[in-house]
Amino acid sequence: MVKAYHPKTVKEALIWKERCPKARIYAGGTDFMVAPNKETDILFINQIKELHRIEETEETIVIGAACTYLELQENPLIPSLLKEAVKELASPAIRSIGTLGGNICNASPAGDMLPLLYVLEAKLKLSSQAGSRKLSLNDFILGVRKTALMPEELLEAIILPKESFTLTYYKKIGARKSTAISKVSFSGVAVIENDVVMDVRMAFGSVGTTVVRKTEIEALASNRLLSELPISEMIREYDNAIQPIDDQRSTAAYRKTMCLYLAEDFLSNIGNQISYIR
Amino acid sequence: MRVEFILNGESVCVEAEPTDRLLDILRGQFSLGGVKEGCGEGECGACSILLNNRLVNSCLVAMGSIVGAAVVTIEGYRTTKRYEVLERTFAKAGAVQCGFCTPGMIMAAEALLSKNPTPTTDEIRAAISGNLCRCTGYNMIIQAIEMAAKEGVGLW
Repeated sequence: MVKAYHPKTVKEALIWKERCPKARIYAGGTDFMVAPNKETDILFINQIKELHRIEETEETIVIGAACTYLELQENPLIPSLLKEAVKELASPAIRSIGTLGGNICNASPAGDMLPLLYVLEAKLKLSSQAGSRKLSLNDFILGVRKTALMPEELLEAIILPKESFTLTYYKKIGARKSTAISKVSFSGVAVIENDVVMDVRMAFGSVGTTVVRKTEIEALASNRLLSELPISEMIREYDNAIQPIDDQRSTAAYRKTMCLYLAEDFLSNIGNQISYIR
Repeated sequence: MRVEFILNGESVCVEAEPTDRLLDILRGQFSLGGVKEGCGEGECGACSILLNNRLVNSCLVAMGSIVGAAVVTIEGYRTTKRYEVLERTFAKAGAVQCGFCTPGMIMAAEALLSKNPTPTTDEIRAAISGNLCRCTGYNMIIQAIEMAAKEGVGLW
């Protein structure tokens, strides 16, 4: 007999998580219900009010792990880049209940929000009865559906540093515009000051076991004049670094080609200092 | 588990497994056959309902997740003035052929118009982007929703 737990607070949820470490977490249910495991106990966190909060500190925006995409879209604290990317995810009905925390904890290589969260350098607040720890998203996702979440832990919040960029870029490529699992997704951000590239970050989704972000390639662009940006060298490096596979959604060759086109499009638009989404 | 929730405005209580799909309970226990099952994995929108006034696919909702929540299906919605307008404009525009997607389309139209009573064509397209129709080619459905926004001024 499957047991269901309905904690009202995070504190209560953590008690149950410690007592029943094998219980599956139900946040939005949009992935869970496609193939529900009828054998495992379930911890429903979707009705915990604390986990739906969105708050800001001086330096960060803190998003409760059970916030739905719709809640993100409706909240003035959420950066517009994230809101625009959310519009590309699934469909309105899925955005009503699907959660950012779920996208992270499912750790699918095709998670739509992940490339963006990698370039925004999101941190995660992981809590257990013993206390909380912070981990970067990069250190949290270990592989296909593998994360660093301990059995007694719960993802409590996603923490976004407050930053401003001169260029933001997000593009998802799927078989159709709506309700598609991506073949390739890409996100890039850049900071330019007085024609000098201060910071470039680029992340590729659906082309490896985890999101691909290579800070050593990004570093090739730092402190360069816009006119001297080593675009072809960077593209060559990404060509070596990105090794996608063939699967039912796309082919390795198409994915590789699209990644390099997107990277090039992003890098050649850095000087334009405009946001580009889609 | 016993799940109490509000269904089409009335308090109800049902015995269900926590992972039972709301879709199956609505159709099986409450005989609400206007909620259709198309794909069963959130891709087609035929099972669309309103959960706490938000559009959701009832195939992706576990009974254990809706304790105390408010559910509205096409059967509840059809008693409203807003529905009357949508029914009329869907008929006028020829937006219904086989009809399988229609309850979901109507719920998606309501979810849109209740937030945005004067949507653009693009906003309508986005609002029904999770609802598949294999008959109409969508244009008549979009026209029907545009007409409803005009004819139903003040209702939304």
